[in-house]
Amino acid sequence: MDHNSLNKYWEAETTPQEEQQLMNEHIQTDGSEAAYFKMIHEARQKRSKLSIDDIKAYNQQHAPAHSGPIVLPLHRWIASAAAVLLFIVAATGLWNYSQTMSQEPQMAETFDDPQEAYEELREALAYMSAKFNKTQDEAFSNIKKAGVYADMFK
Amino acid sequence: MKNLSLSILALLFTAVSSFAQQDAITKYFSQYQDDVNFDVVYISPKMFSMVSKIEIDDMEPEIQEVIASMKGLRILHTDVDAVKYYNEALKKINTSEYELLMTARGDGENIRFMIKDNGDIVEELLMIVGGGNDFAMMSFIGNIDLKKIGKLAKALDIDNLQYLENLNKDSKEKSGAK
Repeated sequence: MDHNSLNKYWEAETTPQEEQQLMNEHIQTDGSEAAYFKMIHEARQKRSKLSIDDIKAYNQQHAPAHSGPIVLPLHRWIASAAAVLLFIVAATGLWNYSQTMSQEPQMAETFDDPQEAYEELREALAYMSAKFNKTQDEAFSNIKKAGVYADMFK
Repeated sequence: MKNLSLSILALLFTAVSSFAQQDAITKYFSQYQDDVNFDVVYISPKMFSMVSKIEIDDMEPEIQEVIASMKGLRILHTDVDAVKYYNEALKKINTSEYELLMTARGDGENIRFMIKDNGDIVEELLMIVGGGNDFAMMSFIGNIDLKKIGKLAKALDIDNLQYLENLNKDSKEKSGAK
């Protein structure tokens, strides 16, 4: 057993070849370091059995659910601020537009004199009232007719 | 972010829908108010308030009552292409806004009464007359009692079925005077 080599190993000064040689020597013994080197040996053996397909399968299995581009927090904050700003601008614009649209187009006043307006209003009301009564009479007459027809088919 | 985009879209959709449902009658009146083929009468709420304040000794109580409850009057009349304008008006009226009250057809004339109500209160009474030689649209705005409207013709005791012709004559005289 080469204690110098072992010390060199613990100091992490051995080359890979020396390390392999040291491991080969120790795994065949029952010394205090044997368990450690056996474990390392087994681990390396296991790892060496992995094929590229195994690695791909492992990667696929452990791939993160969201594989989109990574967004930096600062960019996310700027995007949110821009969206909020856009929303406020759009809402303000819409509100102004709705205010403009909701104002009824102004019609020019026909009369300057209330007396003239009254005369016109009186005649217009009389005309509408006459038409209202005429239409109402016709509607009642149609209702009566409908009743008569309904009786005929009973 | 997705929610924000949806909110903006919803806002736009609501705004566009509300603009589309604007007062069709106002738009219709405005469209033809400068047309030489049309006679237009507009009495504003302000003028109504002035009319209700003037002292007229022989004013019938029925008409006084109706005038007090009214806020506006718009009349549009033409004796050119009456049927065309009648049909056009019917197409342009927003039926979700106005409810058909009654309709009559006779003597080559169509009459439609439509209302815009808020519960039990009739806020607008719209009359559309078309056919023959005349197309007329009258919009009365205010708190309208339909029973009182019907009684007015009798109370006023005037034969006013020639009103549209007179309206036309007055309008021509006014434009001639200018």
